[in-house]
Amino acid sequence: MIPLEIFQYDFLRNAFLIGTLLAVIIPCIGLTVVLKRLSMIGETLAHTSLAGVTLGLLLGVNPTLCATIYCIFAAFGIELLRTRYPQYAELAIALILSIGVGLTGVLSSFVTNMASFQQFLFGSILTVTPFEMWLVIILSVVVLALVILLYRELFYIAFDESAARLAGIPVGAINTLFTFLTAITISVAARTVGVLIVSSLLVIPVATAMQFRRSYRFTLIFAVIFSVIMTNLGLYISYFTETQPGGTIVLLQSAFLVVLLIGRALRGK
Amino acid sequence: MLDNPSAILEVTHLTFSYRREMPILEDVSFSVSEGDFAAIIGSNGAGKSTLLKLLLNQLSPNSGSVQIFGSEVGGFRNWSRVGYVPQGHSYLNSDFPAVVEEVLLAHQFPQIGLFCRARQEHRDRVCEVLALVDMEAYRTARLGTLSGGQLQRVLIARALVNRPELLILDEPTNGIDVQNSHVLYDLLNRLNRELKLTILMVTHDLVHASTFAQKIFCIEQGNLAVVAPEELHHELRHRHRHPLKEKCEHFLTLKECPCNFQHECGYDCEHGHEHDHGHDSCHYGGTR
Repeated sequence: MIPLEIFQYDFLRNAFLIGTLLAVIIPCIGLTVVLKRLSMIGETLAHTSLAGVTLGLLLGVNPTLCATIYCIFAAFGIELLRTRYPQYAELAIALILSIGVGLTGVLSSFVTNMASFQQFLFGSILTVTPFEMWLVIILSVVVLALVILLYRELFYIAFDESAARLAGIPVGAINTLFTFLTAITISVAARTVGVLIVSSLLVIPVATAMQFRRSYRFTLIFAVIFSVIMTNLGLYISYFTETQPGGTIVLLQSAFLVVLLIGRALRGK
Repeated sequence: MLDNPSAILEVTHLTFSYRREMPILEDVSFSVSEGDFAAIIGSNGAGKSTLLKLLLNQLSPNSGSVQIFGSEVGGFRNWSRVGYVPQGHSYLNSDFPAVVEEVLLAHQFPQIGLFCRARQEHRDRVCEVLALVDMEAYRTARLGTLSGGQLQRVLIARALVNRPELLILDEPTNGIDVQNSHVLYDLLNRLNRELKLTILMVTHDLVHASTFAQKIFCIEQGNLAVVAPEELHHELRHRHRHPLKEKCEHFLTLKECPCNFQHECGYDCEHGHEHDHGHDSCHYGGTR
């Protein structure tokens, strides 16, 4: 018998709702990010968002809002540098990451409330404010709409950007919109599941789906379903084992990927 | 307006340099007319790929103009009339999680766009172009499972899916074995003859270029010469051991000759660039 009593708590119901919504949209963003060879963008933006958080804590402004705004600037910085070093996309990421971490290091020495700082490092899906919950709901609707409406365009830009441009697709505008949404999604997700693991949620479902070597459509749908199942399972387990929810989810996802890789390797033999 | 009414691509006095002191293209002029099968040849670094980038508006010329379907390339918007097959298939990530059909459907923009989803007619069009390149059996095949030649045919199908009038190819047989190169050139020839598709390709394959192309443009050190296919054929037969660079330089020397018949063939054969006694023209079509 599965114990369902955990759903009687409001904060847990909220955690499951937010977890599920993020589990749907993060792989949607993640697929394009991975295919554009920008896998580490999640790590960078999440770490960079800490600079926004510290700034927010210092100025007494909502840290999530500050982190989001800072993340948007950082994401556009990456996009700008990427055009400067077209063959070295990872260089742009490394540069922005260094600036973000440097800024966080300097600013954090002025922060007195280290408890809220730590809350961002590891996330706190169980203590989200109503403002953050609405932010996640609105963001999920926007990201889902984008992924459905621009499905073919996003696919084509990730596959072959110059051919997409020749086909008449407004590559610049779509890239800008996508960068904007990536920054918001990562900063919001960093607040709820933690800065240190948000990038895992971005790439593990996609990496798992890609192992099946099927179509783009299959990869996207599988990544989303996998992410939703693992997030809910992770939240559920973390309640009973009293472990950190974000970490539990990531470990579960990684365990599945490892089993899958071993299974494929054995079958290959 | 185009000087030549049947020209769908007209390049006039085009000059381009990445750095001021080193021009890549100097005063290049040529035109491609409707139904032409034209080839651009030249050694590595001669400026062929730069020329294609200028034709596709990916670079802007320092001076001169490129007119495509009667309008200046900078202001040209109707790119669905032009199909482009990029150089080699190797630049594509073959591990990309996608099947052939998805790549072809994605290219049907703006027919399939934000508010118009893929319909049966779009899928039918995919089947139609795949049949045209003999790849209909691979509609649901994953890109990573295709060979180099098959991938190249998929890229040609992708360029054809929007029913273009002009097909531009950048070294279509690069990295493909001789057998598959034959298949590809046969296919291009068929498209040119049966669909009346105008083709402009950059190639290193002089044998196929001299066999199939009706117009050959030779680029060397930033200059362009128009070479007749017979001329290239002749060059291949008599000086096949000479490097491509030397051949191209030779063509450019011939171009500079205003045809006072002062050049001797040098091939030790009857088809030289020499005075055809009794006629007022030389073997290469120049007149006194």
